[in-house]
Amino acid sequence: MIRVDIGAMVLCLLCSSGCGGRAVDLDRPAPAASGGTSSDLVLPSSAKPLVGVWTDAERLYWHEEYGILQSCLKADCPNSTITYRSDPNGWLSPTVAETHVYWLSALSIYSCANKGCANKPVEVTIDPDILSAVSGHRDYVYWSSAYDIYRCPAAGCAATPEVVSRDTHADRLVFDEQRAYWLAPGGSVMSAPLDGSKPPEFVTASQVVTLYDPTAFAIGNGYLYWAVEQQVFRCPLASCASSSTTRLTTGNAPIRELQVDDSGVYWREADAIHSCPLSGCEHSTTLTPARVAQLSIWRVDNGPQSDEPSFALDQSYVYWLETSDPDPANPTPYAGKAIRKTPK
Amino acid sequence: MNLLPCAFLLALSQPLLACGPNALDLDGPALQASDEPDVLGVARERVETMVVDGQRLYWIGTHQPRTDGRDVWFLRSCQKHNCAATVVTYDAQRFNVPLNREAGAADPRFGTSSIQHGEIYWYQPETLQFVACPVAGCNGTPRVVATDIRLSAAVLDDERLFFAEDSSLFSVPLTQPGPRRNIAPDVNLGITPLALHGDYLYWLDGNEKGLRRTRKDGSSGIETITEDARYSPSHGFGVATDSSAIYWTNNSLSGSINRCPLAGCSGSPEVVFAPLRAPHNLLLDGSELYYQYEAAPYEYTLAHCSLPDCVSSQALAEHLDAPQALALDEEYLYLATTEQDINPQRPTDTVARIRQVPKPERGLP
Repeated sequence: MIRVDIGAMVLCLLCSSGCGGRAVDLDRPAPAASGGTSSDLVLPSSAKPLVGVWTDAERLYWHEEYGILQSCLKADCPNSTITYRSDPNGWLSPTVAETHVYWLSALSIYSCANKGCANKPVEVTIDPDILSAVSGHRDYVYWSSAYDIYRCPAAGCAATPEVVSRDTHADRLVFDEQRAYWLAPGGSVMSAPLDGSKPPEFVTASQVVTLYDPTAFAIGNGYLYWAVEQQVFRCPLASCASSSTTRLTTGNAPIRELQVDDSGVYWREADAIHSCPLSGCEHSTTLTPARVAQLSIWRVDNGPQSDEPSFALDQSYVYWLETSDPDPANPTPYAGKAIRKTPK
Repeated sequence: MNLLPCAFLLALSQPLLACGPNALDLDGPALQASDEPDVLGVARERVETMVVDGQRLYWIGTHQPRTDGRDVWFLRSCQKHNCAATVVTYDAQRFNVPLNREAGAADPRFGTSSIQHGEIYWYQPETLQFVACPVAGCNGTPRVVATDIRLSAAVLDDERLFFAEDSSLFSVPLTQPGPRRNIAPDVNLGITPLALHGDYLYWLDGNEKGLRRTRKDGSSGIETITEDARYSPSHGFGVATDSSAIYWTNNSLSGSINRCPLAGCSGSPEVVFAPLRAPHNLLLDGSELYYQYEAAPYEYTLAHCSLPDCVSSQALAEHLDAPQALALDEEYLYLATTEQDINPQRPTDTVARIRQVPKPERGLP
């Protein structure tokens, strides 16, 4: 495997631009996007730990620890920040979908339109038996409860939630246009129609993913991708149970997050983001410097186990959380201090 | 004031009661009369569990004194025909731990089978004793039925108390001292609502999906009714029996009322009614099945349907906030509607109306 280290090159450019590799201070506006350059541009920065980042075509979303969920327009972030939820005394476990942001706080699930909801999020429902973080897909929020996988519209649940699948639970849910996919107990992958109109099916015949890191699981372009320790695998969704799997790459450290889009496969290895094209991973690329936040499952605000992403993808960039600086009290930073972007 | 003398309360529960009226905030009547025609009385406490017999209505109430953060619970009764003027308080204890109202277990202190032989039986978690008094009032220290028990669920027949403790099921005689009998040792018990029917004791397994039974005298092995009971400890649970079947609630958010023959299902349980959000608190009255469910989070509806098919279900009362405060006698439904108490974690200024409404076949709805 040949690796091209773009991160080091980007850092070098960054230093020459005078930024000094530091996040922009909270009180100062972030520098304007220079558009189409390969500079490692900082978007919002924060005095509080950052524990998740998402993006879509227009907006960049981030989760500050202690219950703050915000976004901004990527074209004008300093002047367009909105807050979906801010509760310095609470925690939340958010996710971002195409039309709404959703979050779990205590046992309540909330939704808010991506463009904001004027501090009036919808309490979709309360589920005392919720087992995992919530997942969003378009106008629905999905979650795993004690016995079933449920979904409800962003506008709020009816008296009973819709059942996606009975008698199972999911450590992580991902979606395509027709189906929901999840890691079932034991590490196999199952799927069902988004509305639960047909019984669930096994996508893989046996365990493919250890539950050690359920974030290393994704679908895209008709394939199921997953990581086991330092290796990335894939198989065709239509025939995963019968066809053999393909090992795409072997990294140098355990792979903790995996995302796929039309351009390639992206993953975090230790503290750097790597990628390779969908056509094959003979040549993987190290996209970022070794400064990506290694989000910890143990958070100061006592939230649930984090499966929030440390990086996000749009058409052109990888947005990533730059790790907090170590200090004597926190020698191993568990979160980020700023969001940077790097060309894909 | 219809409370027992302070000296008695002190003797009953040494650690709890300072008798200054402010200490427990007991300086008002336990139940006030009401002008509303269907209200038997207005209680300054949350009514948690109700039971009726021919003459009396019994309930467990909880109250949080303003001067002390720890809840107090009461066991009281009144005569149904003149409730507010006839209140008897059998017990009052300060909780050792805060009450978890969402816990799915049936109240281990007191339940529908707790009136036997003209006596009321209840459990004191604070003293680890199971005790009894005449239903008319204790008139002294309650009679101790069993000591040093740490039960999680209990049910009575006319001879014995059956209870779950640790990983075993035991029984002790009710009316005279006798040794405890271990009728099911080393079973997998979790939170275990219990039911009795005929010669059998039914319970929910600790894996929260297995419904089992054994003979009350311990002479049989353990039989499985179903492995698909689907019980959530986050919500109330309901179990009831008639002459042919055992009914229970799958009390998940997309739940159901299910049944199996008393001897067990040969396949999957039969779904009597679905979907229901967190159904619980089943009561059978001939062919009428009464149940509660969550119409919205922490907001309960009482409904009923006719067996065996339960085709048409009707809501009888809505916006209830005390999921287990329901009882039936020959003519009436009894329910408690609690007000000014939106947050279940922090009751304040609770007022509960104990209502007596005709059963639906007598005119409602």
